[in-house]
Amino acid sequence: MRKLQKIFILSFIISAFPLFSQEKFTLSGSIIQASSNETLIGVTIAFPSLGTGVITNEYGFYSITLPKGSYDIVVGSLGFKEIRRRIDLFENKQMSFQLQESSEQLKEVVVTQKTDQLQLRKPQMSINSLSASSIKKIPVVFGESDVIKSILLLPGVTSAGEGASGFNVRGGAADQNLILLDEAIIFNSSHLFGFFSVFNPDAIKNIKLYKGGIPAKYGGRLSSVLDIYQKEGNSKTFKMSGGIGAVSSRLLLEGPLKQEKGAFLIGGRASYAHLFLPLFDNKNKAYFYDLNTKLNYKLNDHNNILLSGYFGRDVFNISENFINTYGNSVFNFRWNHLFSDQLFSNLSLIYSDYFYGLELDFVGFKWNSGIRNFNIKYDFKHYLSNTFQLNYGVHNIYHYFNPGEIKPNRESSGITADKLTDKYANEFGAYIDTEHSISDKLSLQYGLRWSNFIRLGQDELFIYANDNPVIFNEEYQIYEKATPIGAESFKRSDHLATYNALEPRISLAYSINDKSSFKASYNHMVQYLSLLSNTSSPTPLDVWAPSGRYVKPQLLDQYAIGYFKNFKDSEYSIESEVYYKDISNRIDYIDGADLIANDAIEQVFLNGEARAYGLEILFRKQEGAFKGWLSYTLSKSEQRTPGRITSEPGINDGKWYDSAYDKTHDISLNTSYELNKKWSFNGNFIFQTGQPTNYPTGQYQFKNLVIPIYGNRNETRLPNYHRLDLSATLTPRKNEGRRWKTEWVFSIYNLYNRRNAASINFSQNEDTKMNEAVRTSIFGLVPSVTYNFKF
Amino acid sequence: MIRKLFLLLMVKAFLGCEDVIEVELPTSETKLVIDAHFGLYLNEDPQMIDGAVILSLSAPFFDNETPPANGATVFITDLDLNRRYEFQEMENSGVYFPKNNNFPSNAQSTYELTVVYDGDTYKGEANLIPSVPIDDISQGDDTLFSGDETEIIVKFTDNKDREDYYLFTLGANLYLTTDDRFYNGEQFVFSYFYKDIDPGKEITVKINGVDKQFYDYMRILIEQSGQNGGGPFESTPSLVRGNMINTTRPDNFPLGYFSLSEAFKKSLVIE
Repeated sequence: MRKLQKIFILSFIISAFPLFSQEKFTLSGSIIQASSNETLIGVTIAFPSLGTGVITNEYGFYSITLPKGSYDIVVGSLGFKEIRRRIDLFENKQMSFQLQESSEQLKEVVVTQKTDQLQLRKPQMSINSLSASSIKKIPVVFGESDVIKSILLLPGVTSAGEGASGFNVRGGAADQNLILLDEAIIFNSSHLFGFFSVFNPDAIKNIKLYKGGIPAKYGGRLSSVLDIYQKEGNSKTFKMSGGIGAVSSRLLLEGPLKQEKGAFLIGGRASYAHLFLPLFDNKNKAYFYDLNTKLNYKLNDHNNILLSGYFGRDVFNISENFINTYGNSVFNFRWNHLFSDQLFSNLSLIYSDYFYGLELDFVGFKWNSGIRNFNIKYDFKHYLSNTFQLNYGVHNIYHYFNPGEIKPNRESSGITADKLTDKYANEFGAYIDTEHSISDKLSLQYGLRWSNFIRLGQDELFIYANDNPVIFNEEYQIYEKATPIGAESFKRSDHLATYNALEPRISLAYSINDKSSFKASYNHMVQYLSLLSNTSSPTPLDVWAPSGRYVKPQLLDQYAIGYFKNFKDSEYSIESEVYYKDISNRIDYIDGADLIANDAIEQVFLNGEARAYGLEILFRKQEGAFKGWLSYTLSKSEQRTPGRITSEPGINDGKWYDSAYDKTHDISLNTSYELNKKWSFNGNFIFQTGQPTNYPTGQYQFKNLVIPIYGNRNETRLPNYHRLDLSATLTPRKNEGRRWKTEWVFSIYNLYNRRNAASINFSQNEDTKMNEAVRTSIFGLVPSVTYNFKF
Repeated sequence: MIRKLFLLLMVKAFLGCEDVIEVELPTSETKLVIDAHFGLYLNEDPQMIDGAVILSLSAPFFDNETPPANGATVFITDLDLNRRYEFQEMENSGVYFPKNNNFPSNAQSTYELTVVYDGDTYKGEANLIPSVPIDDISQGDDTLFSGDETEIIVKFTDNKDREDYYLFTLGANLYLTTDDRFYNGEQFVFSYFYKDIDPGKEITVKINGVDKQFYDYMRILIEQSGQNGGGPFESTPSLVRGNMINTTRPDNFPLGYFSLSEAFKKSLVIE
C-alpha cells in the first residue's frame, strides 16, 4: 500500500510540469542495425543547426521535441555509416533509422562513446563504454576474450591479479560493483575463480561502466555500475557464429521468429572438461559452461516484449572427493511500452539466483549456499523537450539468503544435517532524475533516489549483552566473539531493522568551447548488501549478507571533477578526472576471523570507514589505422577501524591502512593497428604497483610449526606487476562476398614471460627445513590461437 | 582449509609456477615464546603425559633456527589444591620438564603456568579439556590431488553432552582442528591424505580435547605456518596472541599458549 502511495506522489510531481507550447513537435523512433534489425544503444541523432541532439537509450529508442521547422539531421555512431537527412517537423513524427555498418566494420573504434561536441556537453562523466567487437580484439590470456579483463584496461579499474575474481573501481571493494546483465543483478562475475568472466562476448551488445556521477536510476552498490546488454537476435536472417579457442568453444544462433518483428538468440559456451587432465589423472574434471538466451517480439509500434535468460555453472570434481559447483541463473521478462512519443517505459520482472555447492566426500558432507532475488523495475523516460528530459521509476527487490546448509553425503557419514539461519530482506527504491540543458554552455543532470531497506523476520537472531556481539579482551588485548545471551525468533512479516536514505546525485558539464568542457559530479550512494569476504579478492564460497540489526548499510559520498578535450577533429581526446570518496560503515574483520559457515558474522567484525582518492587520465586516438588509448591512474585507497571506546585499540591500532586493492600507479596502454584488410594487430601493456600485503617481520616455533610473525596490516607490497600482450587477427581474403566468414586470432599473453607474483608464501621448506619465500605466479608466456566464424 | 584447496587447484590447474625468491624483510623486536601444551593420556596404563614447557625466542624470518630461552624459572600451580609443580630445564635446551612425575594430579583443577625470564614474569591459566577415544584408524586407497597420497581413515565418536573442539596430531608437525558443530554425538569419519609416506612407516594419530580459544589459536597458526602472503584467497595475516601475559611489562607480551588436553592415540603401520 505504501508503495502505491509513493508511485502516486511521483506521478503527481511529474504532472505538475507545465504543458508545452503548441509550436513544438516530437520526433521519435528507434535506431536499428540494418543487417540484423538489432536495436542500437548510444546512437547520436544530432541537429547541427541547433547544436542539440539526443542519444538512443538502452532499447534503441530516442525522442526529441523541437520547435516546428525543417532541420538537417545527422544520425551516427562509430562503426556505422552516418545518415544525413533533411526532415520537416510540422507534426509529431516517428522515424526509425537503419544504420549500415561501415565497410571497415572490424575497424570499429574501441571506445564507442562518441566524443563529439554533444558528448562533451553531456553532464555524464566517469563513464566508459565498450562494444562487444572491441572487447574481442583485446589480447587476453588463452585468447578468451573477456568483458571484465577488458574493463581492467580503463583508468580507475584494477583487480587483485591474475586468477582473482571481480574487479575494483576507484579503490572500492569488489562487492561494491553493481553488475547488471539485461538489468538483472549478477552476484558472481567469475568462472574458474576469476580466470574468465561469466559473460559470453558473442551474446553481448554493449557494456557501460559508471565509475562516478552515477545516475539516480541505479542504487544498491557504492563503487560502480557495470551495465551489460545482451543482443536481441537478428530478426532478418538466420545467423550462426562461434569460435574455437584454447580453453572454451562458443556457438551462437540467432534468427527471426517473425520477419522483422521478433527474433531469438541462443548462445552457449563451454570449456573443455579435460582442461586439467594433462596434470591430473582421468578421474578429475574441471569445466565451466554458460547459456544465454533471448527472445524479443515487437507487438506493435508501441509495445515490445523481451525475454532473456542466463545460466552458467562451474564444476570441479577431484577424484569424486571434492565436488564443487557454482554459478548464476537469471531470468528476465521485459515490456517496452510507449505511452506517447515522448514517454518511453520499461517494465522488468527479474529473477536471479546464485548457487554454491560443495561436496567433500573425505569428510562426508554436502554444503550449499546461495542468494535469490525477485526484482520488479518500472522505469520511465520522459523526453519533455530538447533541453529537458525526465527519468523516473521504481524498483523493488525481494532478497532471500541461504547462508549455508550442510547434509551428510552418504549413509555412513557422521555429519548431522544442519542449516544456518535463512535471511530475508526487501529493498525498494524510487528515483527521479533530470537531464537539463540550462544554456548552450551549461547542462546538468540531477536527481534523487529514495531507498528503503527492510530486514525481514527470520527464525533465529542472536541477542547479546549490551547489544554488543564483539568483546574486547583487555587481558590479552584481543577482540573476541561475544557469547549470545539468547536468540529471538520472528515472523517473516516482522521488521528486524529498517533503513531509509535519500541519495542525491548531481553532475554538470560546462562547455568551455566546442572542443573542451569542464565537468563535476557528486553522488551519494547506499549499499545494503555486502559480500562477507576477508580475502583480497572474493572466492566463490563467500556469502552475501544483508544489513540488519548489527550490520549497518555502507554509505558513500563521491566528488569528482574533470576536464575533457578533443583535438584534431575529435581524432584525439583526453579525459582527466580527479575524485575523492568517503565511505562510512565499512566493516573490517577482527584478527583470525573465520567467515566460512559462520552463523553469527556480527561477532567477527567491527565498523570502520574507508576513503579513496585519485587522478585518472585517459588519452585516446579514435580514428585511423592506428588507434588506441593510454590510461594512467594515480590513486590511494585506505581504511580505518578505530576502537569503539578509547581503551580499545581497534583494528591495526585504529590507524589508516592501505586496502588490499590499493594500487598507487596503474598504467594501461591498448593499441590496435590495421595493416590491411587481412591483418590487424593489437597490443596491451600493463603496469601496476604491487598489491599491499603483509611480509613477516620474524618467526617463532610452536608445537614444531614455524610461524611467521606479522606486523600491522598491509604494510608491505608484492613486487610491481607488468606485462605485454600482443595479438594478430587474420581475416582471410576469401571471406569477401561469401556468407561463411572466418577469422583467426593469434595471441601471446605476457610476451616477455614475467613472473608476476600472485602471492609470496613464507614458510618452512618441508625437505630442507629452511625458511623461504616462495613466489607463486600464475601465467608466464601463454601463446594461443582462436578461430572465429560467422555464417 | 577449503581456501587452501582452491589455491592448490588453481596453481596446479593453470600451470602456475612456484619459485623461491629473495625478499628483504623488516624485523621486529625479539619476543619470548611459550610453547606449553600438555596431552594427558589418562586411559593408558600407566597414565602418560605428552609435553613440556618449551621456551624460545623469536628470530628474523630467514634465520635457520630460533634460539632457546635458557635459565628461566618455570612452575605450574594447581590453584584449587594450592600445589606447586617445579619444572627444570634439560641441558640448555629451553625445554623444561616437571621435576616430579606427579603433574598434574587433579583433572578438575585450574592450573597456572608461571615463567620468570630475563626479569619479566609471565603467567597463564588452563583447565584440562576432555576428549574422546579414537574408535579406529585404517588405511584407505583413495587419493586427493596428485594420485600418490596415502589415505588414512580416522573414526571417533563425539560426546553429545558437550560442545567439543579437537586438535588432531597426525605427525611431527601435521595438525588438524575440528569441532563437533556438525556431528555432535555422532561417530565421525574423515580421511587424511599423507604426501610422500613409505610403506613400513608407523604413524600415530592423537586426539586432544581443546577449548574454543585454543582451537581458534591453533586454527590460525596452522594456516599461518603455510601462509600465502597476499594470495587472492588469503586473508591478511596478523600476529596472534595467546593466553600468556607479561605481568611485569604487559606491553612486552609473549607469544605462545598454555593448555592441557585429555588425549587418546592410535597407531598404524603403512602397508
